[in-house]
Amino acid sequence: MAPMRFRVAFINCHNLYAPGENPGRSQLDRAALITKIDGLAATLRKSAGGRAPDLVGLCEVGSRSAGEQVGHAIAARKAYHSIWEQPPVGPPDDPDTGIMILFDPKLFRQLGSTRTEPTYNEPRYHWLAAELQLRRGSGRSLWAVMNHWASDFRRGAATANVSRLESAQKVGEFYSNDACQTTAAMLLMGDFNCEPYEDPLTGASGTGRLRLKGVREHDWATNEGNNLPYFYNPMWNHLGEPIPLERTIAPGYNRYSRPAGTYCKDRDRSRQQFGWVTWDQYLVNKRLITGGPARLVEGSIRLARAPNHPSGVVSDHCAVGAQFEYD
Amino acid sequence: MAHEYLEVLERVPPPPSKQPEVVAELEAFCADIESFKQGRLTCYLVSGSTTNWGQEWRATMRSVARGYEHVLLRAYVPVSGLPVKLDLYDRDVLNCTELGEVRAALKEFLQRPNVRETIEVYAR
Repeated sequence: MAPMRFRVAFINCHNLYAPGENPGRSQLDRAALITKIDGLAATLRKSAGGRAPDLVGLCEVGSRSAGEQVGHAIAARKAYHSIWEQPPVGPPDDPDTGIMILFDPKLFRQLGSTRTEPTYNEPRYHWLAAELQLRRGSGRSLWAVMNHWASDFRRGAATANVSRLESAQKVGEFYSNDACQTTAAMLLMGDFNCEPYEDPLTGASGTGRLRLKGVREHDWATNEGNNLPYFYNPMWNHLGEPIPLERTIAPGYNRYSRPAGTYCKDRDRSRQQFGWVTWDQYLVNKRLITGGPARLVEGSIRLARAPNHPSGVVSDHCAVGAQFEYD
Repeated sequence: MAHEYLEVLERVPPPPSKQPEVVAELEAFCADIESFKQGRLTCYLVSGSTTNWGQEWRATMRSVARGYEHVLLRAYVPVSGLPVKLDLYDRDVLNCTELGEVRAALKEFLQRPNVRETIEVYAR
């Protein structure tokens, strides 16, 4: 029997606050919010190959209801179940955002409780993990971990990088000490606020043995003798220009086949930073590459740009979709 | 009290199943690993999720010195006992239709260099 497939998509929702929830970061009225939600849903569907994804990751979400509205806009018939952790209480005029995972209850069942990073004095948590069991096929489970690691914008690059290194440590420890006890299959996704080649993802700096290590070659992640948290990062293939230069300067050439990254810094001219970066990524460990409950179909990864609607930015990030095979 | 449920349980025999034998085989596998390292690690079966392949059983090692735990393999045992799906962290899950196949697969598994290495690490 041919393997079945499920679809995953995620996006940074770029300050998805209800009207009046955080005036400093979002001035959307009700109509503009609906437009934004519809735009997010359309972008997620596009990244999932034009169909409603079965598993959705959202970050920069102001409230549970706002995130659930995105799920409803993607496909009301799916009746997604939501996994949400309220962010710690911050200043009343600047509540921070949370992370949400939506899943199709006809395909998945949540096992156990939701897990997040210990936040200490952080204004928000940086990852949210849930174990999801496939209802069809083998019925085995996998960990879905949606991430939104610390950003440079509010605290400066050096401080934020320390926080990202900490998140990499915590994710790696969670994988080795907790997650593997139930299932060793783990999908990391989300806005990591750093490139695949930067230290928080490569594990190049720091001394923790259980640090997350995102690798660019399959073999490093599939080594059966290695039980450390090595994750294959397919987004190395999505760095930079997708089309050779000689073709782009030929007469008649009309635009890229895909964006040159997942987030464009063009809007942030005051910081003198321009161009595309690939901050939104999937990482999978060996149990989602060569065997286990599901296998990543690497060629199915799609980036979809959100429309810049006149009433406000839907999102400054691309949605990233992928498909997984399972038996 | 009539104990009518007890009466049903005593009257209706359980369905024929090889599940106890399969689980006993997995327990023997764990016990032998534990004996091999003579108190430096413990090895036991942990029941996992109920899946479409049957009940998941995890052969789990625990380092006595450090307390670290490691799932050595996963076996999925249906109510009827067979076929057993053995997830030996290889590229494919093994489908064992007889108890003899389960035994052979477990013996082969123990001969793999990375499995022996893992046992040594957890016995330190």
